[in-house]
Amino acid sequence: MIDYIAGKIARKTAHNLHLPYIEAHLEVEMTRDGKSLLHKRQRSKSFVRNAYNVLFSQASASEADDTTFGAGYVNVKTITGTIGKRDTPVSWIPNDVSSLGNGFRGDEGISTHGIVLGLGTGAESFEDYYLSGAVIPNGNGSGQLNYNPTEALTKVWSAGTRTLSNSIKRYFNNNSGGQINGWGEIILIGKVNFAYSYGTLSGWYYDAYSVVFSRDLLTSPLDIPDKAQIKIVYTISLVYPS
Amino acid sequence: MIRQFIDELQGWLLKKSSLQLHVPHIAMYLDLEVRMPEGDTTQHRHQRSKSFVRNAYNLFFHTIAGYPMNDGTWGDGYINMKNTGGSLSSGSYRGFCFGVDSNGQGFLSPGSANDFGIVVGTGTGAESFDSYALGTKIAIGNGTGQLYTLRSEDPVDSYISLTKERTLVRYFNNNSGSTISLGEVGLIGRVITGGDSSMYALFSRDLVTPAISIYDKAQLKVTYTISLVYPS
Repeated sequence: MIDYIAGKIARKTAHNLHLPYIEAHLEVEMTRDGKSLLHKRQRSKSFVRNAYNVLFSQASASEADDTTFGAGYVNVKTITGTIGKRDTPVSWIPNDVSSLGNGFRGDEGISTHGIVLGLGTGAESFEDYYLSGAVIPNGNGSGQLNYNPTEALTKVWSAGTRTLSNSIKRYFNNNSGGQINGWGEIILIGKVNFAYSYGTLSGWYYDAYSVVFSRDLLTSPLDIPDKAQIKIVYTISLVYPS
Repeated sequence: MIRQFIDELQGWLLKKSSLQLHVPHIAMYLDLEVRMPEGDTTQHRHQRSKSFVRNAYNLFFHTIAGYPMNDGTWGDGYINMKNTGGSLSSGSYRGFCFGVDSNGQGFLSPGSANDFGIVVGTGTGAESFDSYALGTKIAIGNGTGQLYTLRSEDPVDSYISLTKERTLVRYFNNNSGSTISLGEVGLIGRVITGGDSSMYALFSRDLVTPAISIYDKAQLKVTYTISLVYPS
């Protein structure tokens, strides 16, 4: 209820002040034999520091070159815990951000990019840069999930609310022959990069950094039955002024 | 005054609700100051800038939602950028690029140039979300109706009370021998397009109401402050 009211206030005041209002929603669905075992749609309040830093870097043309990761510093922390930094702003990698293997679109069988599931139950933290527990690995063996390629991005314009949204959707199939216990968390990993700083006014460093933008903890851990399919959708939206 | 108070109240509510929802809150302020050589301040205005244009919003969406800026149509529901000449960007990806440690990149212009960075004009057309250029840019120089346009100052970054802030400053000197009327201020970025070339894209245009007189020999200082509130 508090979030609902806060959302109304934020939307209204951002509109009046002609400022961007960004929000994210997460949809989780698990089905088996055509039956829905779980279907939840909730506001995602889980953007982490990386997402804020990339946004600040792009909004203010600030270089992301700090050596320290934390309050007041601009850089990114990769999924392995290393700092990604250069004396240029941080942005998407130099490819079509909507193509598989780029942006948020993890490709088939890839569990280090895009929407990724894990077994951890650690509390959400703004400083998260990876899962809190073990990743549910890709595959069809015991304890593994088949990671489908991320679906094509879906952009929707809602004229009434003047909201533009992009949905990132991915399916996961349990072909393991057994139940996978304790699914507890979801992360959204994007691939970012930096442009050249000096010299010619063109070019990119061709080194991608895999960084978590959001980590959502499930209300309680779930078991994934054999032959079940999971659908995860992150919808990120921006309200435009009239 | 009342308007300003209401805006600040709404800004406070927006900040609080954004913190509650754990979503980013971006804001911008504009400060205008005109000083005479003796140091007298003839004008000083500090106001919330409510003037991000479509280019800026599209870049924000592209950045946070991971959607490419390659639409062929300009307007509601489309993602792209329009340069200051009115042409659309093209290609399948975009990113705001280049370091800002040196002039000539991002929002930092070299001196005697007004293609990008903080730019000023005499135009008095109403603010529009679809603006992509100033109405009438003030020419560079020391002749009639011209302003001597200095390089952008080095940006100043700060972090206070969960707010990360970048301050951009530029000076303009009136050596023209007569008064010049300031009607509009813009912030133009140099943005990479398609990977190997750049474009000039307007991010914000603020109408100066009422217009400010920049007297002969006066100096205009324009400051834009862009901030993002982080959650605790």
